[in-house]
Amino acid sequence: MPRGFFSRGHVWPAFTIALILAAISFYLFLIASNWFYLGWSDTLYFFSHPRMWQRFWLTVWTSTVSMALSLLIGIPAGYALSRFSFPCRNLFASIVDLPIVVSPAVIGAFLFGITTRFPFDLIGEHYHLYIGRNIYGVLLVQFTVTCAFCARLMKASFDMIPERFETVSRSLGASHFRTFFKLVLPMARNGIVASAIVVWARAAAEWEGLMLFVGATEGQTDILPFAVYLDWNGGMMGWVSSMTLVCVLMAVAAMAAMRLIGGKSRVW
Amino acid sequence: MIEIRNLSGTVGEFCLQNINLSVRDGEYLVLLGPTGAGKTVLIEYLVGIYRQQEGAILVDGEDVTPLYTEERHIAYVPQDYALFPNLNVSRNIAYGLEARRFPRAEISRITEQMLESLGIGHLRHRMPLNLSGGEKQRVALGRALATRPRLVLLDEPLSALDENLRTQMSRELRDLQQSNRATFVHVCHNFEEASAVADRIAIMDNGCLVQVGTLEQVKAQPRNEFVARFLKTQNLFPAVADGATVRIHGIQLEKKSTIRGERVMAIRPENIRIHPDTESGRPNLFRGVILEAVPRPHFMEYIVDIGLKLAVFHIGERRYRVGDSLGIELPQEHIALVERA
Repeated sequence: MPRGFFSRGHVWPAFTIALILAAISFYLFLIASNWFYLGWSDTLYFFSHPRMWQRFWLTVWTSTVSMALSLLIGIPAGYALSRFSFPCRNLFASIVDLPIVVSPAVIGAFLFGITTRFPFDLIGEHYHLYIGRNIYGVLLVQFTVTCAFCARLMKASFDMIPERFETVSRSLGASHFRTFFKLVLPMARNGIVASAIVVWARAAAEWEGLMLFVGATEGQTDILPFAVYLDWNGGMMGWVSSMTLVCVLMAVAAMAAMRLIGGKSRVW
Repeated sequence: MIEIRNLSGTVGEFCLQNINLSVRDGEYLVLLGPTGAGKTVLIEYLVGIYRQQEGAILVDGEDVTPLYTEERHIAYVPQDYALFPNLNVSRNIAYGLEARRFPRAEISRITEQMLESLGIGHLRHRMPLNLSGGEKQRVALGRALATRPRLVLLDEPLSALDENLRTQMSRELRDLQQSNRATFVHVCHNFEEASAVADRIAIMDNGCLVQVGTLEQVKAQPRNEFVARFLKTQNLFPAVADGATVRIHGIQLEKKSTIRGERVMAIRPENIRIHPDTESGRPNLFRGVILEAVPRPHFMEYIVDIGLKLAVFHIGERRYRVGDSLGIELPQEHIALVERA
């Protein structure tokens, strides 16, 4: 080994690269152990089973709808928190942040408490609209948990855009709305993409709130992480291992997409 | 015509006090003052970021105080130009025209005209990230001028540029203002920068407007010691005036004025005359000895002792050396008696 390899300039990069490799090896080991546990024949069986794909697509579309709803609320909320001062702003910010610090199980229990009491019980009875042990319950739990993340991430994105741009835009004759849509949103594109992916991944990983609020209904509420929990309790380790693999691959794909889309942006 | 009448307001802990100022159409006014004087806050009031507690801002007789920023038709160019990073040069310039709903053909025509007149036609498809400091400034000015605003506010537009480019860009700023017959208010804290572009200067300190006038007026008759110091009048001495003479540390100068009592005597170094020999009979002529001689790019700076230590700028062939004895004349017309700050 060359004499200067462990000189000051090399030790720190070598140490960090070693740590990254160790972390990657650990994750590869987890994936590989699941793979070896299943073997080829079980892998083919589980991955070609309609139940697996039904759970996968349920996870994908509920997470996508929750992500869209979260962005719809999170973007304006994040912008308001970043730009405007108004009475009780800190209280409002704390309420928005609440689902981040409270356990999703508590949120599930809280939603259960609300939706089964007055006036929602009467509304449900009258209109036959039940939010609970069905797909609406899944969406409500995912949205409640992820909306806070979205608002917080969007606030951070808007904070990074200097307000001068908006002042200049308005001095050139653009209204608040035009400035927001033509200037601020395109400039926050990286942040929106990153938030969307993080929010999607967070929604796809939600299960504690679902456990308390919606319970397990085959084909309706058993999104992948929740199904992992249910099958674990049922001792179906083959299903658990195969679904774990799918969850990890989904997470890796989401993170890669974030790097790819975020990295290509020419905004900044 | 822009008129600011009795404008007062508080932003955080900073307070603007009773500002009265008018800017004529086509005038180039420079707001000059040290950091924290309130120059930027004043233009932020003009652009409409803050609402004043008292007073009014009138543009061509119309009170714009209740109007939103986008309704005032006052363009703002911040220190870093704030070019929109998601739009190329051409779309940056067209932004205000689109916002004001100009017809499409008109937008193209004006944008092209701006690009050509600013000499940045070749940059039309470039993104702002790939522009140099000078190019950014031209684009920002083009964007501001494209909509023909009633007033253009420039917040320290040259401070991000290096020394050589600053001189060139200040000349270009002035040319651009004149060719567009636009009204400019330019904020800076640099006296040389102000003198390169201004029709008039307005000096601010601690939230107050201290003095307004042409550069020559303000230099010749600063309102107080602060203005004199800020305009680099190096020779300032506590003095007592009696209407005909001024006494400074036992030295008596002739100075006819209506001012009596304690003041500060100010005289600019470039207004002090050097005579190789002490000629008798000239008023305010003293024998002095050179204590220091400092070569500057276009003149010599001498520190001369005449009983007072005076800074004297001398342009000319002849060079004096430390220890030389010579005549120093303080012309009456260049002596200013100012209030203590």
